[in-house]
Amino acid sequence: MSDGRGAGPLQRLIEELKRLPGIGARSAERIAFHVLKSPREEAIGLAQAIRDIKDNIRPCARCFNLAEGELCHICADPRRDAGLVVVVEQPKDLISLEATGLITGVYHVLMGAVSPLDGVRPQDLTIAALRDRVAKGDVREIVLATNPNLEGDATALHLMEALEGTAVKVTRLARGLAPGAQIEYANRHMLEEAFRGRHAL
Amino acid sequence: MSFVIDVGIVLRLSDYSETSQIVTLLTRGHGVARLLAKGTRRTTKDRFMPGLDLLELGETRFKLARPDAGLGTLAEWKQQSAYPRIRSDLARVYAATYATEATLATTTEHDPHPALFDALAALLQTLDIAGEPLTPDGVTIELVRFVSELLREVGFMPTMRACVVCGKPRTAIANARFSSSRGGLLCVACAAETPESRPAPEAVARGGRVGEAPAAWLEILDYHLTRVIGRPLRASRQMLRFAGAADKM
Repeated sequence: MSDGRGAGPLQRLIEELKRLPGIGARSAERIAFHVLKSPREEAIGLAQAIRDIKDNIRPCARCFNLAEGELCHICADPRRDAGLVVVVEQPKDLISLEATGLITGVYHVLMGAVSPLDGVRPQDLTIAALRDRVAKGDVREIVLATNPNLEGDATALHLMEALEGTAVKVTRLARGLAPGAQIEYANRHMLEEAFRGRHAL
Repeated sequence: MSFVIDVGIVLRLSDYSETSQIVTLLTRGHGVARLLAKGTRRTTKDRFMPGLDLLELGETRFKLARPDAGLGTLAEWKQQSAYPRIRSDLARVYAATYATEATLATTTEHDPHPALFDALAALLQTLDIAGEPLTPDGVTIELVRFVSELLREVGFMPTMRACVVCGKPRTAIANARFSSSRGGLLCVACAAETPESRPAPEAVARGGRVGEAPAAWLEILDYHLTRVIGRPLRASRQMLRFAGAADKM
């Protein structure tokens, strides 16, 4: 029996939307009907934006960030300090760090983290490309901004191993208590790391 | 099913949505439990502060799924230890990961093994010891002890004292072989009638203790585990490399 939506373009859009993360059947229907009711130029604009992202976005040839040309906008910016390289697991982490406005350097995106349980090995990441960047000699400091979890820590250890013997200074983001947290509810690990990472005022 | 309170170790974590995760715990009293942990990634959820991570030990409150259903529900997680020193050394990371992966591959849900839980917690505790760092051999020895305990618990521990077919004592066997399908050491004559066998490492065949030849013991147990599970563990190759064992698989 027909449910009133038919099997045509509307149903096809619903099916495509359902494949997106966090979008269930009801949400997919709601978005599809919104697109159907919205002005033509708005809907075509959305379709064009999706097409553009697939046609024009590629990994930056230097840092593997998302880029529209050969280099991403950060690597192409001459005001950036190319001697300071912040290493992140994925482009989303880079966006979060950029939002702080504190990073004057450039980035290197690993495109993942070492995960022995999922079979992700160091050679599956862009560690060799990072070594090549360091070997060129203009990198002064590498800041490891991998996640503070087991996989991020394992990735950081592999990076340390890969950078052994180079003259570059390697640092890691501080860890410990998050702003808004209360010491009473913090666990031992958080407190240990916060205490170890204390700094002079 | 009602909520239960237990202690658990996080064996596996995977994303379920932007803020929720599926967590697989080895609990002491309820065995392996696959649970939906809603909102673990929201910083405001103090029920899970500070989030969940692999290889953590914690107190937990959860509801098990029915045996025929999918996921249970994790209601609370209070971390007791994150074993921070394991995370500062790759050999320890791979040993701990190997242990959790082997546990996951050989156990099933709703099948409690308190002794196995205790063995895994003891391994993580030992790998986390500060002050006197474990040598690479020390890490391998601890892992071999755990894998032996795991195999004993799940009923797959191979026999190493005598030929598993004819009973000839190990000391009387020259050029001993090992067969996973037969479940242990074989003399040459019995090995000839067994389709699957490989040479037993000399140190293992002559009855050397784990402490004398940890890499050889790990190599043979890894071979056995690979055949019991039907595939190599993902952490296997790296762990054997750290242990200094020849990868003959």
